[in-house]
Amino acid sequence: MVNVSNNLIATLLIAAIVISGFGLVTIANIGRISVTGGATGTGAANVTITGAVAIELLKNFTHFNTSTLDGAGRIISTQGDNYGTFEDGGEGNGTSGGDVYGSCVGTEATCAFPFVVRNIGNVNASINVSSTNEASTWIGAGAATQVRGKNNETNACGASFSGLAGFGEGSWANLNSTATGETVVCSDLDFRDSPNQDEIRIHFQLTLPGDAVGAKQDVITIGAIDSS
Amino acid sequence: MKKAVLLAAFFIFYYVFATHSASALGIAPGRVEMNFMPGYENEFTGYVSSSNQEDIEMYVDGELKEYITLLTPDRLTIYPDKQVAYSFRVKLPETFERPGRHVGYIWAMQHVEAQPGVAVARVKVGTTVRVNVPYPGKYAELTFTIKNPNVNDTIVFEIGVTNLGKENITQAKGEIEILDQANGTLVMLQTEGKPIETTMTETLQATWFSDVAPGLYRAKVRVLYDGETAGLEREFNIGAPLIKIINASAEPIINGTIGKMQTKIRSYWNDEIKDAYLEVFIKDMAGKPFAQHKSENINVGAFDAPVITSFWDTSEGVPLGNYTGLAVLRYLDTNDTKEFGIAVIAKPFAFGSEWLLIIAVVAVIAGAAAIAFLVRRRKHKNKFAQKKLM
Repeated sequence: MVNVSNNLIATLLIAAIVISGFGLVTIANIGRISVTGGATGTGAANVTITGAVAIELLKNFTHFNTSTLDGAGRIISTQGDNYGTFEDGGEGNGTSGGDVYGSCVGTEATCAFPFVVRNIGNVNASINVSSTNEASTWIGAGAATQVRGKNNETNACGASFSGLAGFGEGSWANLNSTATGETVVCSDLDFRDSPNQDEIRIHFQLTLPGDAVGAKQDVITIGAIDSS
Repeated sequence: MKKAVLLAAFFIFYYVFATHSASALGIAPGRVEMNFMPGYENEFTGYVSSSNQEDIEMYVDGELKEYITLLTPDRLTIYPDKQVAYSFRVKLPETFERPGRHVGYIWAMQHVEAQPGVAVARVKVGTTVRVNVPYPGKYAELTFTIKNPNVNDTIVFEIGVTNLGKENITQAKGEIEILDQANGTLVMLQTEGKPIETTMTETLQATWFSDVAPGLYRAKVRVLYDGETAGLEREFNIGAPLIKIINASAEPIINGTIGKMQTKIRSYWNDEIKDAYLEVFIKDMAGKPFAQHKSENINVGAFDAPVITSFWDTSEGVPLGNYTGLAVLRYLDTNDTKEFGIAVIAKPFAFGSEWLLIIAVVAVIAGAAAIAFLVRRRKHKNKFAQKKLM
């Protein structure tokens, strides 16, 4: 995994260098355009081009498993004890321990882990999450999906979690569908790997209506852009 | 019966899934930012990379969508650690109605197929295209960064001031008010004053020696420029929440009993730290894992020094000897550890009630035997005396 990441970073750095060169050409072009395009002359024509945005999903598998609902609505989460035979939540990435809840004993077979996102680019990144459909559409009426960010490495997101709820953790926020816009969980994820502070967790919380039934499907998208 | 059938039907199968292997995706450049020029047009080239072989969807989004055109196909195939070029054209209008920042994105997104019973996860990364349309007059936009936010350290506060107005700013000067959690002002810092030409950015700096307790603080930032004011607020942490294990120990454990191990911890954080817990791993004389125990989760109050008790159940018997305990205190995203020794000893001799019972039984038996012996001896003597008389 380390080799893959290093190779990717190397590739992106080369790309950044190439783009830096391209940026110089672009600035020269702007000079010509400013003459022919009738620029007002009130602003120095310049273009800023930054490096690479890149993220890696270290943990991209959350397994709540199956349970029978008793007719009452239930909330299940990757960050707590869960109802029935749904797996309990677990912190960390599932391979390096971390806090666990209830019957979760730190293994993928017994825990519903959060996603773990690492910023492997060379700029700070804003991390967002979106779902193809609203929860009420893909689970059923009365359903809701929420997400929150939490540091997987100290100070990775600093005070930039959405709805800072305490040290190193954001508040639960409704997961928006792609149509209504992404939900930002961390507006400034550090890219520095040393000291270790470039990883966050993305926790999920589902509100299940009592009459939820059957297998469901959806697409969850983790997005990243330059946060500067 | 009907109710039971209905209850059985109330189930849900929820599954967030993606490939189990790490999934990495990158795009360069991360941002292309320009000051607005009427009718500006240019082409840009970028690159997309992935750690896996991927089909990538490229698309444009955001309020600048109508001014950005992808020049390369909207579906790319990437091979591991190879970069694939993409290009786009930016063609700006003659005017924007609204001054300020206008943003568009070129996204590279993993292509996935929906699967029944599964919520598929995917990654996307975006190049941000940012066009700054000048405001009439003078307009300052602020950024704020904090360096070295440690206790007893010189913290550096930097205010980035960008003049997004059409006119130059003669002088911009910053004030930074630091407040504690009770909203009390700790210090008011002043920066130097600087002129800022239109479209340009200057950094205003102030420093503060943080002789305060670690914890959460708030900075109120104001920049005064030519009679105008811009401001922002930011919460920040000084220091880091820290709990240390002061010591860990165990009295010798009598084999066959439940032994106690005590771990004293101390918080150096000025606020409560929730959901800390202790794991104790026990290794045998050969260094092999032998047993482990996990405590309940506890909330550690500000500067508290509680003792956490862990247990080792040896009621089924374990080999006697010296074991090594490793106490691992887990909290927030980190941990502290300490090793200690544990001796398992044999049950010592004690003159208990069971021994009294045994002695009593032996004494009774011995007494009965003595009486029987004496009676028999007496009878034997009498018999001998009678024979002698005859």
